[in-house]
Amino acid sequence: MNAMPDPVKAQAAKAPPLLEVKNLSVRFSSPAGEVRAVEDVSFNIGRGESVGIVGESGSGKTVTCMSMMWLLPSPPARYPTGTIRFKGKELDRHREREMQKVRGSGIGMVFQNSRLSFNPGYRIGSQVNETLRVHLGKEWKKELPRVIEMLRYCNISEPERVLRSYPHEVSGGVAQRVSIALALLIKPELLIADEPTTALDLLSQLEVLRLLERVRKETSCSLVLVSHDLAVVRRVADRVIIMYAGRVVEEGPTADIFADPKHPYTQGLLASTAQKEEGERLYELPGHPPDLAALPQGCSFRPRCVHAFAKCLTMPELLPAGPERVARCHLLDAGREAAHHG
Amino acid sequence: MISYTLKRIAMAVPTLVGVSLVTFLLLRLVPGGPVQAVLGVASTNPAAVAAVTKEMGLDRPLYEQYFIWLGKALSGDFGMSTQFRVPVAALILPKLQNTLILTTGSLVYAVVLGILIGVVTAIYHRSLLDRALMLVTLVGASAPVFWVGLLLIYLFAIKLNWLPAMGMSSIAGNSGPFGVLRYLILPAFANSIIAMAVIARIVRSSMLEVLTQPYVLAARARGLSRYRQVVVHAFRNVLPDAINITGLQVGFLFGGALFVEVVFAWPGVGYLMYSTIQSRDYVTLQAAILLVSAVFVLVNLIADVARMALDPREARA
Amino acid sequence: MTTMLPAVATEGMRSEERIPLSAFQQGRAAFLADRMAVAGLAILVLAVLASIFAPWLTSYDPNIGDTDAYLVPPFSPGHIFGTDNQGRDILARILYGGQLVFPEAVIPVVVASILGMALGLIGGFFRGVFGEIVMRTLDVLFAIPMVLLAIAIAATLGSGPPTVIVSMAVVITPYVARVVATTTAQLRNAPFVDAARCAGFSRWKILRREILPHVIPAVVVYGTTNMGAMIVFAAGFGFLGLGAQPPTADWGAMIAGGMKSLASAPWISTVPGIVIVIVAVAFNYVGDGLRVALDPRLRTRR
Repeated sequence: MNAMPDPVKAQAAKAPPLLEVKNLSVRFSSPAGEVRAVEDVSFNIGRGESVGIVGESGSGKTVTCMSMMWLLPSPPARYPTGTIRFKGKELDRHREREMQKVRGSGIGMVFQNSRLSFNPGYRIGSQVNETLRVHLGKEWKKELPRVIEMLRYCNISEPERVLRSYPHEVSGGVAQRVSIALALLIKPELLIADEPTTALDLLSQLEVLRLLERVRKETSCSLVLVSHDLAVVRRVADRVIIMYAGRVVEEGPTADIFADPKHPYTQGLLASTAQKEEGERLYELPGHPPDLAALPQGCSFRPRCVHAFAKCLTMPELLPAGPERVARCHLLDAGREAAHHG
Repeated sequence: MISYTLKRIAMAVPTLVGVSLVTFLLLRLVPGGPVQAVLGVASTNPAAVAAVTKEMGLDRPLYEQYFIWLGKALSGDFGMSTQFRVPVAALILPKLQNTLILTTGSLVYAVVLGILIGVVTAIYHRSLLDRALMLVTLVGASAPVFWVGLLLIYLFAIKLNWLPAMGMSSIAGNSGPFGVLRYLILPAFANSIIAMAVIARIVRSSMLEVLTQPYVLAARARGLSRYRQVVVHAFRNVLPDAINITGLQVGFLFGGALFVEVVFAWPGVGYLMYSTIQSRDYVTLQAAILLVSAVFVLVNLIADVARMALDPREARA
Repeated sequence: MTTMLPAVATEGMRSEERIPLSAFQQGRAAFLADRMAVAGLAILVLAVLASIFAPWLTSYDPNIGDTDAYLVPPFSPGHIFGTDNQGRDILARILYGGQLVFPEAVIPVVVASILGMALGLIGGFFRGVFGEIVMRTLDVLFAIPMVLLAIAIAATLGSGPPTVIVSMAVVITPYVARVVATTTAQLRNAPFVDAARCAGFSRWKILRREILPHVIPAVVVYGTTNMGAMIVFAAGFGFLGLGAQPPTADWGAMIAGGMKSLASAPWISTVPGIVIVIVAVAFNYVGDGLRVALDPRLRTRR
């Protein structure tokens, strides 16, 4: 690591981060009991930073990123604890009008299946215009040339034709790039992309990934990329947050985490996606993610963990695991103690 | 779109032929046969019987009888009413107009209130308001229309004396078209309740499904207001379901009109049918069923085409 | 991971630890868990028993009035629901009327269920030219407003409870047939039916083992849910004078009979209507409960 004082980082330390998530918990009711979808999650997103959130289905990553702009209707979602600060100002989820201003213009969002995130009953162009109208008021027509420009920027070759089309008439890849263009059009300071490549074919995946990389390099917009695919995150994110059963289990700079994962779950994830070599069997994590309505005692990963020991019956805290790194595992504590004694 | 409309019209033709067959056969069910039906129950005059037999072709095979009857019906000749001794066509057409006024009024109530209740209960899903409104629609849908009609008369005409209880002022009369509206308020509402409840339930469940669709969440994420999310984005995709169920309800509105017309003495086809039941005027009954069914087939055709026009996936195909 | 909310709420739930119950036990448990369905069933059982045992429950004759007790208002001693304009006890007429209304509603539904199932299977499972004819004929019957057709048939055949039953059965049959035809048409291409076909099962065996177990519950639920509407429908015949002839007690005819004295004695029409609404609503809740109890998918979704 570079020990020289970085002027950008020094400034970032003084100013509040772009987005602060603090002690966020999200719950749903189900017949089987209370589902703890997200449990006491805290993290920051810096200005211009690109953060990846990784986890399996049910790890709470989608619920977390939707809660970053209080998107989930409540009920059914319940928020026992949690504050979100955007540019130092707390977002009040009960103030619908204020949230409407932040949504779209401050924080933009791209969903997993963009064809489904456009209303099938209206042409794409009219949905783009609607968004412009809502955020720019009477001035919106002046921005129309910029729409075409932005679509071209997002590699849409025939923007006029796409705008005239209904969502079902364009491919998933085109729809995804249009929705990225639409999100960028209002110049948000943070773009959240929830599994933006998962529903796409390989070629479209690459195109969308290239576009996200380009956005990261060429704009000042911060990026949150949610994915279960480590390869995707590795390509785009500066920093990675690993989630398991609704909690953050590890967090740190992308390169460091991929080089030396600290949490047994991260280790398992990396091993299962590692390049398969001749004759070597692909590693697979044993077991299933836990039932969020009936979490195991102590560490949620304990039933699947090969290193589990007696102490794991209590929930571990997030412990320091290197420069700018934390992980939620008793092994770190035990390791530190062992190192101390040795 | 145009090809769908033409195809849909072509599909309505065999249906209408089938409807005419059923109504044709209805007269053959009359105890004593069609001759008695046409002459009226009491007549036994052999000369009259022979004349009718010849005119209707009753000495010929059944299919020829059908074509003779159909040919006359298509030229507007539905026979003579045995009760009123006038041509059925002249008797029935003004009544049909009155029934259409009543059912249109009911349709307006059912669509406006049904959609309103459906949307509101979906938005406030599982709230006290939702439960209360759903119970009210269930009770309303379970109540006989004629009983609801009597309750409305008792409350608004007898107790409060706000509205007229019976009849229908003529459009041509001195009260003008707004006079008709005053007479229409109660019977149209009574007749609309079941259709309203059905529309409310379909709109509610369709709306609940649409509200969980990704595009509504995406609209919210783009910073659109709750009103735009619900009315512009969600309701747009509920509309085809709403139109479909409304088209189907029209048949029940015609059925309900029979009872409502009896209760409110509304001079429509239903009231006419009620009097044919007592006077055994089968010829008039047959024509009434045929004409009302034809209107119903037409309404469903319009509803289908409208629904198709609202679905961009179909409309551009 | 999807963006749809219910998926977020329910995913990760497992029922490995639960002891498996038989389908019947699960269905019964689901029905009993629905309080409204249980309450509805209790009301219906009480209502049917009360009309069967009417002679033991009331000492009044339903058809012969008491000349000293014309138009007695409800809640009077001896006449809890009052008397009508011929001095007949309304409670007695309601109880005896049930002996007529319940069969008038239930028999057509049972007959239509059997007929409709046969026609629906011909149209949806066996198909062929005959099936096509059946489906087209049903289409025609849908084009005639159901209530008007039934009234016209009844008016043509002449009044009385048997007429009511026949005409109701005729007009409900197409609706049952459509439910059966759409259910079987969906099942016809289901993977488990393909599997049975590949295993060399005969058409009859597939019908009996793979199709009917899905069709029968659908018909039962359809019949029960619509039974409330059928009570109202049967009362409609009575109201128009097409049902039992006076002085026989009939709920619909009782409402019609009270029309003339609506201003002075509103209870004559009101009381039978309330009874009809209660019975119809009860049938609705029982139907909803049965739907959940008989459909495993709905059971877990709740």
